[in-house]
Amino acid sequence: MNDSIEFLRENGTTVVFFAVLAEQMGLPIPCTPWLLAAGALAHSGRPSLLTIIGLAAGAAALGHLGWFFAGRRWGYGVLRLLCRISIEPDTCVQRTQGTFDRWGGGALVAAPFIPGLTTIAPPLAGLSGMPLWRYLSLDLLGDALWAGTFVGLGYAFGDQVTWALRGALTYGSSILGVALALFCLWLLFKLVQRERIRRKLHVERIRPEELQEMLGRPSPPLVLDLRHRRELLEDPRTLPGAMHLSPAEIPSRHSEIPRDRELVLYCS
Amino acid sequence: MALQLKRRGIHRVRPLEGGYASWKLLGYPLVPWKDGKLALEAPLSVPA
Repeated sequence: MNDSIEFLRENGTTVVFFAVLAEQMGLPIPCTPWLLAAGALAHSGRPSLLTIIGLAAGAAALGHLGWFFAGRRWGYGVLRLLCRISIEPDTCVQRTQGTFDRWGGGALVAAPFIPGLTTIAPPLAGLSGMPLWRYLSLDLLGDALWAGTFVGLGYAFGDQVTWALRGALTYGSSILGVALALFCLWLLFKLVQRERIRRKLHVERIRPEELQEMLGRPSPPLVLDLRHRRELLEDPRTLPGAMHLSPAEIPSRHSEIPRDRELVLYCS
Repeated sequence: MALQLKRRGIHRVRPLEGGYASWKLLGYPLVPWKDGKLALEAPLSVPA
């Protein structure tokens, strides 16, 4: 066990760098425990607190940068890909865009603290055309605050973190087992919930061929375009006769939708 | 989203399979977006 702690003491910076880089690139590798542990071990001054924070912030920024350029290059395709692999793809794109619209560049500063947003915010910044210098400043600020928070917590509660670290190294497999079981339960709940909604909607879907035929009728259905405004600016076309309404406008504008017509809605 | 509309009393809702991407991929007609307002001025008739 002492060997493990000594290993962390010797290789803490390398472990922190790669754990943060991997997590911030979107891999399911938790880096928060490493930041806390590194903060606790910084009491000995080896490595220093500032070194760890700088290294973690740099690794996070590096992990995000690829996504920023991917967003700039491939636009919404990247966002859709990221949301497809998320557990809630139905709401993922819209929710993320909503957060970005509400907070603007501030979303980049807050993103590292919000699970999910941290990977999606950089490509959103890229596709929105944010200048690189502005993106890097905001992202680095957020990453430094995030790393500083967890390393600082590890430093402030050094004794407790070291105690937890020793416990984790001793009873690691049991703790990991409980955590894994809880994660599996949560995942199962989300999958069942998603499948229930998908089934409910599946029977009501309309095929493009069917819609095209219906649009030629004397009383066609009302088509509702739910794409985000930014997506419309990227490809400023809609289906014939479509009404555009962003999801955020539904509470205030749903009265504009006639109840006596069939409604076909689409997003990206 | 369809469920959200249903909760607001709009029941005859059908999501388009594959969304905008599949409509575009199939080469069906598209019209320029008119900012802000209903795009109902755009032609409703669709070429066969």
